[in-house]
Amino acid sequence: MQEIIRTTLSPIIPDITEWPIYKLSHDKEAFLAEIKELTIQKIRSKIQTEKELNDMLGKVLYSERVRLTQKAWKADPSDEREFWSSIKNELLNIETIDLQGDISVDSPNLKIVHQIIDRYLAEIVGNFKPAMYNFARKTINVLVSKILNASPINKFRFWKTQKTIGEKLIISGEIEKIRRLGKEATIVLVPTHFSNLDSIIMGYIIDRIGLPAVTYGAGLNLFSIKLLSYFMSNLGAFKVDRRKKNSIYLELIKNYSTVSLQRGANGLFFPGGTRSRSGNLEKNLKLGLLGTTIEAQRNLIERQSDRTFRKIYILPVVLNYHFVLEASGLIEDYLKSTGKDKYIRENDSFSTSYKIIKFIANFLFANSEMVISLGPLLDVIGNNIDEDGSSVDHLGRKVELKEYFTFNGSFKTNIQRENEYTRMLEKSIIEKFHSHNTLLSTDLIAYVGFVKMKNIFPHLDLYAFLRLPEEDTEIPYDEFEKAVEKIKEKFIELNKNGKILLSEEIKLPTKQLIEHGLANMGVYHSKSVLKISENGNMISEDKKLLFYYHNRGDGYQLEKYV
Amino acid sequence: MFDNSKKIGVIGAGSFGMAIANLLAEKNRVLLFARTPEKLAKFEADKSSKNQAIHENIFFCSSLKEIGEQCDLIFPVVPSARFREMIINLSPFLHPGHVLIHATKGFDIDVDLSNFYSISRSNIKTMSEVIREETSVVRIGCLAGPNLANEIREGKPAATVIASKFDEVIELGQKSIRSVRFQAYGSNDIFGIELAGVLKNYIAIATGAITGLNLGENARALLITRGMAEMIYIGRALGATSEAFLGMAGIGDLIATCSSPSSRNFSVGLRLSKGEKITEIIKSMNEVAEGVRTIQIVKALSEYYQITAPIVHVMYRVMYENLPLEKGIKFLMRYPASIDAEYIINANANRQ
Repeated sequence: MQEIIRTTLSPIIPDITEWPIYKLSHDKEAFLAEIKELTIQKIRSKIQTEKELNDMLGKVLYSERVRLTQKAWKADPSDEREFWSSIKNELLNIETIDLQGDISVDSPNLKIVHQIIDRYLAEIVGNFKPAMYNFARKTINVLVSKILNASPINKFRFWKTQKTIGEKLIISGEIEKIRRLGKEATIVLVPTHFSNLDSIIMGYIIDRIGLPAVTYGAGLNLFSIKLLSYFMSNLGAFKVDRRKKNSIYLELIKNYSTVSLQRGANGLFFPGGTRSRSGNLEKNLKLGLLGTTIEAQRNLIERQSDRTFRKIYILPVVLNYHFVLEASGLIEDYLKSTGKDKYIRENDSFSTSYKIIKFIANFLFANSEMVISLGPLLDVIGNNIDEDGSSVDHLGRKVELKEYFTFNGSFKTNIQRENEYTRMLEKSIIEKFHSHNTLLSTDLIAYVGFVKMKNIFPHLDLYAFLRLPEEDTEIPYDEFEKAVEKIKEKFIELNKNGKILLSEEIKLPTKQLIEHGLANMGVYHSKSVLKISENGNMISEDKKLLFYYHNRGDGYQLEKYV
Repeated sequence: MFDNSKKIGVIGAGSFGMAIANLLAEKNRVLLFARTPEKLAKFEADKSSKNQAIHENIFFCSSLKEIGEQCDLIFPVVPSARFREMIINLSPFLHPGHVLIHATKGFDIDVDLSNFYSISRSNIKTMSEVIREETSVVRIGCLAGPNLANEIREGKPAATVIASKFDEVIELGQKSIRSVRFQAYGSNDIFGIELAGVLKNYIAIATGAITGLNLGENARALLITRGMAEMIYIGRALGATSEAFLGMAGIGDLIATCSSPSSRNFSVGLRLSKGEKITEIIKSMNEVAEGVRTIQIVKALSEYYQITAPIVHVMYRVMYENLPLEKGIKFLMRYPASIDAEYIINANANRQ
């Protein structure tokens, strides 16, 4: 049952000290030891001889030294160089005789692996402090409602009707089911990623539907911002350093996720990896972290002989904004990377505490609502979940999760098999992203506007089209309205077939719908993405942004009807 | 690794189903499903099929429920036109623990073959896609290669390829069917392997026709080689890569079926060259020649994707539009030559 909530629901587990994430933090030493053990075990399953292990260490050292010289950050700990020089010395001191044969119990190479793991883990690990959690929760709520309700707000002219946060942030989904099943299961939220605001919004949503807090990997660079660091490091976030691409580090990050899921802590990761540059819904997902849900589930099944194993559910979340603040930079990146094969620069529009606050304020001051659709719960293979929490396949049949890990009658671990399952899960999540995407008025008018303008020049490629002056791509309002009417009907049809969700305003008469869209479209951008010109035609002052917003409605094969 | 207490299921007691059952029976107990009770009774009474002894490890049944319940590994080998119906009937007895490896070389389509103009990728399904769609099974494989049923029956050496996205399915398939006279290669490109197996059938019909016309070995080789190119173009349009066509299921199977009068598809072509009508040929055959159906489907596909596919067009016109075979083959033999083996050249160019 799709429900809409406008208030904050009570926590499904009232006592914070009962939350798995609290226990995990409370029992940190054992938790870290488990990650370490799993990591060593995995390394040893891939590498048998001292020579191979030594080669691997050589590669790790090399990539770390490259990072230190080429990508150093001010925030890096001061003893980084010292640590890696000592690793280098230890590696140099290993005698040739120690490089022969299989890895021994007192392997000097293995000792170095232990040292590296310990250092990495100390950096990665997050904390969870209930006091901090309660403080953050109150602060955010107070902050949000202050911004919304304080009297000075009235001086903003565009603030026509005062809306409460509940009206601005609309959450829809099978809330009751998620809350009921979430008491006994681990939930991994996998949202679409369009804006830097997403992580903050996700934190807020999780609290609002009453789920216990999640562990979540945040970029190490964010921790250099004091305000964020203070909150995040005590809220269960763990640190991920995207510069470190060596095999030990990547394995550790994955195992951190696996073990916390196994220990029941809810998780959150943006499966697309980074924000969508093009404005399209994700077409491919990062399989590495997604795969950890399968691994954790398999371990949970294996440990429990009966059917009572703890389940891991995947919850796709689609975030719909009328506008994305950093859209200009994102689409610029996208066009650069597809047009000229250029490297996507790291966007630093989010680098100081001040910018973040400004960012949130901008969002809240703009009279623009946001729709958050929670998809259906899935199991780690991508099957649906019924009311009792059992897996149900695409034919509506109840299936035993355990059987997916059973082959020829016996329960077995098989990495290649799980890689295929990860692809199946990916496919299922992407499908839900599309079917739970909520079409907003802005998405619709941007889609129609862009396709119509592009249709004037069917032979121009995208880049040439985007460079055209704005007067060349004007379209008569009547034609535009007719096309919006037609495409609206098509989307309504898709909606009836369960392929997309529609926001309230889509049901308005077309004229009003267009007005609604134009009023919300890019309120924040300096140039008009789409507007009615003085002579009554539709024009776009920034076709790149129009292309960006149009992409949200792309992928439903409606171009030919415009 | 292999659980010997369970039987391996084979569905379809045609000549190829029987050949597979016999191969499997060398190391395993096999449960063979036959649709008609008469056929079943005859097998059980005679203990032989087409003058070949049925292996003592083969047991018979006429219930799909028994197959589903008694077997974890099942080989469906039924004609493509009846495949979906059979899978739907089997489906209630299957769950995610089952492994299915099919050996059917045809397409499943969702349009009426007697009344359609063009079909695209979305209208056709390979057999593994049908299994995925209609059952809870995810670990699916297919078996294809130069495997003429009568030669396997006679115990002559052969090889095949087992394709699946899952390595464990390939390994299990190989382990259960491999013997001193039967090798099994593996591939993860199941879509490519399925396509190769399907598409080679109509080339075999054309080759049968050219053989019947006594145009010589050079002409036959020409047809087979260009047939290979045509298969690859159609395969690419459907989203496959070229590689699978160059292996056991592509060129391997093509050579076998295009040189053997014992191939059903080949013999359809041979009889066309003697002036028989396609309707008569179909009526007189006990078993289905998949290539006949494939010609109709591929012709429509090539029109949709605008692929130059002269062989399929000529064979279609010969079979359904009364084009005299001699005239059609003459047209093919005079077809203007372009670059040799351009499908390899293009594939390499695309990669760079």
